[in-house]
Amino acid sequence: MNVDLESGAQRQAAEWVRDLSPEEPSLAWRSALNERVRAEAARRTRRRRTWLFASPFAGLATATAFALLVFMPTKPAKAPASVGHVEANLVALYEESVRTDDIVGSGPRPWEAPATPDVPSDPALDLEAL
Amino acid sequence: MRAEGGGRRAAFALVIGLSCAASVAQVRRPSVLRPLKPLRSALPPVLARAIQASAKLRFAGRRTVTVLRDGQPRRHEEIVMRDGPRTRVEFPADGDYAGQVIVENAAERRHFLPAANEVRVLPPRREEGIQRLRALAKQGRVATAPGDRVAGVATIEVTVADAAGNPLQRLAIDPVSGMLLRRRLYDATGVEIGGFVYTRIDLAPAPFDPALFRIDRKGVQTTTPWDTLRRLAKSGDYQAVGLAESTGYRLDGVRIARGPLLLQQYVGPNNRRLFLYQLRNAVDSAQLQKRAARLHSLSWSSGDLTFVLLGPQDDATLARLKESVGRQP
Repeated sequence: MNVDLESGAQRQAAEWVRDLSPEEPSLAWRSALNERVRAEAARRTRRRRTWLFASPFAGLATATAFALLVFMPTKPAKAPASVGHVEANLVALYEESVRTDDIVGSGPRPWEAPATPDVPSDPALDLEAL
Repeated sequence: MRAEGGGRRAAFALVIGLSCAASVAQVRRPSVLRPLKPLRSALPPVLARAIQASAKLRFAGRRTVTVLRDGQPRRHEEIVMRDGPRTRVEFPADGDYAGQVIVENAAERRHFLPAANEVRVLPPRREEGIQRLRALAKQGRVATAPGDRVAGVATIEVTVADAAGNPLQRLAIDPVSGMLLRRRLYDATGVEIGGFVYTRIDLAPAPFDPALFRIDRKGVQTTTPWDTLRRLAKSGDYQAVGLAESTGYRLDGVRIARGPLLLQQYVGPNNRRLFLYQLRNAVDSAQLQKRAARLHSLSWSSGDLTFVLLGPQDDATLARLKESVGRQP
């Protein structure tokens, strides 16, 4: 091992190390570094404050968006044709209306004015008794 | 004298000439017998009398009207004054219709609603129900029998039934005046679904004050069914479109009906009904035709709405009317 340390290559390398001039960070460099560190610290503080202020709003906005997504009324797609129920209703409404007109004649249709409760004092036309 | 004799000769020549012309016309008439007109189904005289008299009667009376809704009979009373084509309907003070007044003439109907301070102007309706009896009687069977006394008047009962004999309507008619004093309607299972009966009647009232058949009220809001259509269309997200009056069809009523859907009721030539629906369901024309025996229909889509015309009119008429469905001014 001593032989290896005494080798020419090792001595050459030791000389190169000795010849190196001692380098210390200059004051200007240190000052610039400090400035950068302070600026970075201030930026982080500002960012933290902004986030503290904005985070409730961001949460609210997220919750609102979610609620809208879930509860927003969507335009219903045209319901598929049922097995004749829709059509039967249309015909029934027609027939009911015509029959009602036959009954009321010149009087009001039931849906045109407030409904009248039963008139128990006048049993002139008692449906249940017929 | 001479002139008189010449006039006689001229008249004689004219008579001879006309006789010859008539003979020639007779000779030119085709020898084959022309087909006879189909016999009109004979209405019982008392029903024919009621139909003829309906537009001419003068009376003052009180009647009870019953309409079956949701399985429950709902009744109200009306005080009716009629003078030919003019009618006035009032309501007793203890009913929900208290204060409302309806006047009608051959051209229009006005319905005063005091709570809203509103007068609704509508097409007249009085003749429709009685005139439809003629069509019903032609389609089915009609029988008459001695009836009971209604409002103190002896009546004849007319039963109008379908071809199978199921009663559709029973009418109690005064055979002298033709006054329809009681009318009962039945559904397909024979259940009475409503009707009216006069409880008092004066068939020879004193002359009516013409003012009875008018509504003159300052500051009242006058509306038509088109105003109702616009309001309902806006609130229900339907289209405020319908048949223009130039088609001969008048809007008689608009409402939101079960479905839900927007229902427009029209009255057209010969008092024929026509309905225009707007709904958010698809409609199968074949299913509709299958369920509407004597009716025709036409449906189409506009946006997310389906429009349906339904009535006794033929397909060509419905197609023509569809083209006229548009926004009203």
